[in-house]
Amino acid sequence: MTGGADPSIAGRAQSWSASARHQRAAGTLARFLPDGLLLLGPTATEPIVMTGPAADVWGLVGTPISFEQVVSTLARRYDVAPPLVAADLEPVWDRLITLAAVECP
Amino acid sequence: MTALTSGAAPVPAGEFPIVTPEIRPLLTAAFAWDLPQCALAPPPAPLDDERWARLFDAVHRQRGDGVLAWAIHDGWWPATDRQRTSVYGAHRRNMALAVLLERELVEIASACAASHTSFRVLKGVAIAHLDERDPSLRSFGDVDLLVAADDLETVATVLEARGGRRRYSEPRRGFDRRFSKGMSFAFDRNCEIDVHRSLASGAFGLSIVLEDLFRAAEPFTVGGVSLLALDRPNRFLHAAYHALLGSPQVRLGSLRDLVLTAPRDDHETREVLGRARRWKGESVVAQAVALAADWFAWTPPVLLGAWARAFTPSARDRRWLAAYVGTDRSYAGQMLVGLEAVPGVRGRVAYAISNARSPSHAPTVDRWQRGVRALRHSVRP
Repeated sequence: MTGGADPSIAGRAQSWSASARHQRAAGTLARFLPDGLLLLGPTATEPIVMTGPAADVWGLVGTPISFEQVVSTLARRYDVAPPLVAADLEPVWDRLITLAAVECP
Repeated sequence: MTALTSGAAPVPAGEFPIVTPEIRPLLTAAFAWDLPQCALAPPPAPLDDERWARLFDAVHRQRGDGVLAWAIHDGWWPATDRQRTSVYGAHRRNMALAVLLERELVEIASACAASHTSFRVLKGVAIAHLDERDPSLRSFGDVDLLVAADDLETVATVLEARGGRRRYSEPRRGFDRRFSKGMSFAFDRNCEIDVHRSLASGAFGLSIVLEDLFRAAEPFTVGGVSLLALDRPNRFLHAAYHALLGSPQVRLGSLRDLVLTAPRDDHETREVLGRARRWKGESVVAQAVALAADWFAWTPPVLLGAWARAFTPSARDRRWLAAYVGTDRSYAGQMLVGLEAVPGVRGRVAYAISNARSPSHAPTVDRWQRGVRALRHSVRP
């Protein structure tokens, strides 16, 4: 991950940029669950379930948004320090990109 | 039957799903959660294990896991941790099936477009995306498409090219295009696609003015693909037809669809009632509205409620309804009264001959094999 304005969420060895905006990929099918999010990526044959903050993230990527912006929004929403939010979000964001469930606009 | 029904002669009532009297109010309360103008209350405390097991089974059979899951999550329906876990699990499996069916739907839409044909999306998928607060509230076990009679063969070819096998053969060449409710296709990948020519079988289906179904449409998007559903008045009418005529026991999910799609103003009510009159389906609408009002403690829109209370079924209405609703319900009876809806002597003769060859149900071995396939392909997210 490169280019993040917030030093607490920058510098990790990720293939994506924290400042690059992403949005839901057109071919992704999803359902909110009371305890998470169910996703069928554009090329996936079986749905997967993501728990934790995945549903919050999916709600935000309805319009283009960067990882930094997601962290900042959720940190404000839940009144939690951004580094803690970033640590929880990183695997979720990584998974969404790996599944091609989100894409750069 | 209900507080809303009037008229001197009794008409057959819609039958409640088979549950004990103790479970009935709990089942209706679960299905009525989050519906506008419905006044049912949840139980005051989590149910004991025995009552919960019976309720959960009934909710699951009626595909209401999503509504109950969100009602629990919202804090409206009290539940123990174990109860919550079991509903969430069932809901998760239903939603996994829903997205897989939607994947199939968007691919069919693309294949149909390539074949220069189109369809309207009916029932579950359309209601989930257009009428529920969130699509995850609506479960569905198949995809229902409405296709113009002239396009039935093309769509059937598209589905067969994708591996679909028609479940019932056409009883006589030309029957589908002229008389049938539609056809059903089963796929090895735990998927079923129902192709509708009309919204019901027999007399009520034959009386629907099919042009009314295609005159207006409402767009929605699934997986980035734009699709068309019926317009809201037709979604309401379809919910009424399906709730009352679709099966021996009224489907609570369809009654929920009916409340969700109820006319929003007097103009829409007049439009709905005008179409119901043209389709000779006023008795269906009046009775479905009465059932929803009774079972969900629903207060219908004023004009619709007043009309339903004042509606008196004719002798024909009673005769037709008896073939679909109540103890005298039978497929043969529906086909028989269907004769009354077919214009012309030659048309009636063709209809009668075709129905004499029509299979009443799939062979037992076919149903068994489909069940085994479904298990083999069951989704485990």
